[in-house]
Amino acid sequence: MKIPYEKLTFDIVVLGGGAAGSLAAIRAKKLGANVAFVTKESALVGGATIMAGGGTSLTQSPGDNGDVFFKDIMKSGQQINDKGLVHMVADNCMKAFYDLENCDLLLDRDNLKHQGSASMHTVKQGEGHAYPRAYLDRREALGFCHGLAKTIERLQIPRFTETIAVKILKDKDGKLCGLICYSVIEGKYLIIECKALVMATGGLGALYEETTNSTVLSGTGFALAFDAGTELKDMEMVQFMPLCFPYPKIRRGKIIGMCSLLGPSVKLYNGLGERYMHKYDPERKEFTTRDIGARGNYTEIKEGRGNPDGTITVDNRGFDPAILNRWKTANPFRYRQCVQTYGKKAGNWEEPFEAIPAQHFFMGGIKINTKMETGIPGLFAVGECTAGVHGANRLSGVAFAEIFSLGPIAGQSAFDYFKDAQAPKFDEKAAEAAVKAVEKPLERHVAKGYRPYEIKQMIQHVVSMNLGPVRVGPEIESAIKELENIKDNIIPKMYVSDGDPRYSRERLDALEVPLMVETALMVAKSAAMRTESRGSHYRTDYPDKDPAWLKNVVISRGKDGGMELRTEAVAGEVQA
Amino acid sequence: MKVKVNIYKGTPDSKGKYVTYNMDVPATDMVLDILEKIYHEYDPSLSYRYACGIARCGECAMVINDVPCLACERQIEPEMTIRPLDLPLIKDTVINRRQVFDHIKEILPEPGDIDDIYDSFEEMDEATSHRKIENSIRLTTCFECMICQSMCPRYRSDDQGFPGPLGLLFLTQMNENPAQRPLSEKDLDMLAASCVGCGKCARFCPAEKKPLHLALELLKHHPAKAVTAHMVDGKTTVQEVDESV
Repeated sequence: MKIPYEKLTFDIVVLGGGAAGSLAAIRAKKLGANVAFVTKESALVGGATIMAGGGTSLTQSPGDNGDVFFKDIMKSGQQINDKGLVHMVADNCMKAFYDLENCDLLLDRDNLKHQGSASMHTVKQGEGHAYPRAYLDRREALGFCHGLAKTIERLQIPRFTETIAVKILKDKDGKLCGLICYSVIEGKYLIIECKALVMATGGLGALYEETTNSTVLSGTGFALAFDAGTELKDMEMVQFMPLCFPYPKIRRGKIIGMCSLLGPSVKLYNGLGERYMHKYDPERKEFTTRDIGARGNYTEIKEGRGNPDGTITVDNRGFDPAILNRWKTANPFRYRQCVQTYGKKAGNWEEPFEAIPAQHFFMGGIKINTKMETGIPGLFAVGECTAGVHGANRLSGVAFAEIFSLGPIAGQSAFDYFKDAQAPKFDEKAAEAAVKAVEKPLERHVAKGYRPYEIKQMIQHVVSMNLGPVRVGPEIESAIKELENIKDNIIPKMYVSDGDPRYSRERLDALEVPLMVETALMVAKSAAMRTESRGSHYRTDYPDKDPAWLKNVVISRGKDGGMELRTEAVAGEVQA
Repeated sequence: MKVKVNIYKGTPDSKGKYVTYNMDVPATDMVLDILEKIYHEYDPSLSYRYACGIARCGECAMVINDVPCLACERQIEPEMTIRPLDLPLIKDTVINRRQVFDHIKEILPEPGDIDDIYDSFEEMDEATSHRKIENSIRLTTCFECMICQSMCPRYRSDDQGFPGPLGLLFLTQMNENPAQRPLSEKDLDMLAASCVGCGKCARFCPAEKKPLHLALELLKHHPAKAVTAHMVDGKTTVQEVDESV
């Protein structure tokens, strides 16, 4: 089977269909560049953004300011955040947020006005925040997605949807010169020549069996960036959410939230009918931070004290009707899914319901500086795929503050670079060869092979079992071994049986699998290296925080293409 | 639970057919779970589209037992017939969403800048009524599943004029957003003249706040006579649809 390819040329390509990528594309286009927007999903703006609750932390309360916010983010990140980046977010979030109204978006102004008052939309001050900071939106994140999508369409930015990037191309001098993508809809490769590339490829939720992220966040961006030669930082830092749906299968791991959202009456029980959160946080019990909450739920289930179906029980009988009302208004979609999943009574908290913890956010990623530069000329990165802002743990609502503040800066930096840069020497022959190399495994015929989805499930199983909210040395080591086995012995036996390339899920899976295993290995190796517990990285063999570990784990690509790990002092230069 | 699933297989250039599967699945499964199972265990070439699994991305809309709905939140039944929405097809249950979006893109005006309209944020705040905010919020709770587009008797993907109910919704969103210039009379007249006001589009809208109902309601009050006549004299008015949902 011969898969065709098409050659295209743009000034700047933005990879990744969430809000960070959208804002970068909008800024670069408004400045005058010829921009293309490449996304893995079909939604106009999707990514992780569309899955979010829409909460944004802003320095809007009287007395609050960038310095106070900075301290809170650093404290939550256990001081291994990049201070320059944190300052950019803390200081600029308000302005960046209101600038969104230039993108076809009307903010939920009623909620803004009632901030801090007794309005039913507002939540109490979030855990770890010195002031009430949450902007909540009655559309959850759909409002942001709508606005940004319309602006991109109205600016006539060409959009390549359902298109997955498979290789980043550099010229002989090491400058970025393009990328190779595969269009799932059309069943063909795209060789795109460009001067600058902004990666906004999001997190790695789909490496886990249970995740609040959508299926497109399979972590392929990290492997692409590594392959291109960028450094990656804090790859061990994975955040988990305490309460998520256990069923139906398709909804498994999707977010319900945290106990604090459900009000003070909520209690968690294990399968033996015991309350247990006091074992993990004697003081705050159920109302602990999300890392400890997820760890508690995970431990009960893993150690066999869960319900027979591997869940814990949430009992919120005795709730305050005003809080149920607030929940319905502020999280209308989550409420609707609760009713669908558990029935009307449990959905309205009149009966207990079951929940599991699941992967939620990824703090690590591509190492960037305050201009969103990656170290490779022409390659920029922004959003969840980058490391630095959140350190070892993310504070609630800071993911949106981050992408709204830094997304446009990535677009600006890419434009500034493109404007002055000499055209890279694009080698079409080399690009063609790269397409062939990517396609080759998909044409393989093996007698006793593995289908791509099977390998995907193997990776997810290894990652979920060994790199969850509670880790231990031998398990991490076994994860490395198993992932290396998948990489060396299983993936070479992967085959694609679907003969029709048009909208072939199997081809999509097959292109993702080799990248997913690389990313999973980076998570495992970083987790093995950090022999302490810090933030969301918790190891039972090193349960305490070690001051000697006030540094970052950085992965770089060695001469032989292998992963080289080292530690690095925390990036500390505060912006003038 | 034992289920029998008849699922459409086909491409635009081949004669489609229904393939039947009998399987035993957990009773808590959604229809999308069944599609995953078929892809994993029976037919590696089955095409279906989804991203979120929680009725947010709108990508898994299809017709199940003659009702257009989201496969991720449609509970299974003992016997199910599954086919794509009535829009240009790519393969099996996957429709060409890009083509629909491109069609709408044609009619969208260039974006403006708030600074062109207001001198300050406060000025915009003052100019923004509570009703505008509420309308704007409700109109932007759509997840672009395209069920409305597939139900519209006036929408034709090969006709460059009327952008269909989804286009109507997009234009209404812009018109109701005080941060953007209102739409031209020409655009509004085009919509008013094209929409017959039958309300079929809004009937199966899976969005909780029914954004399309509001868009139709706002259009009904448009001064263009054509639509007012239709809306008032037509057999189904928007309100009737609203109540029936």
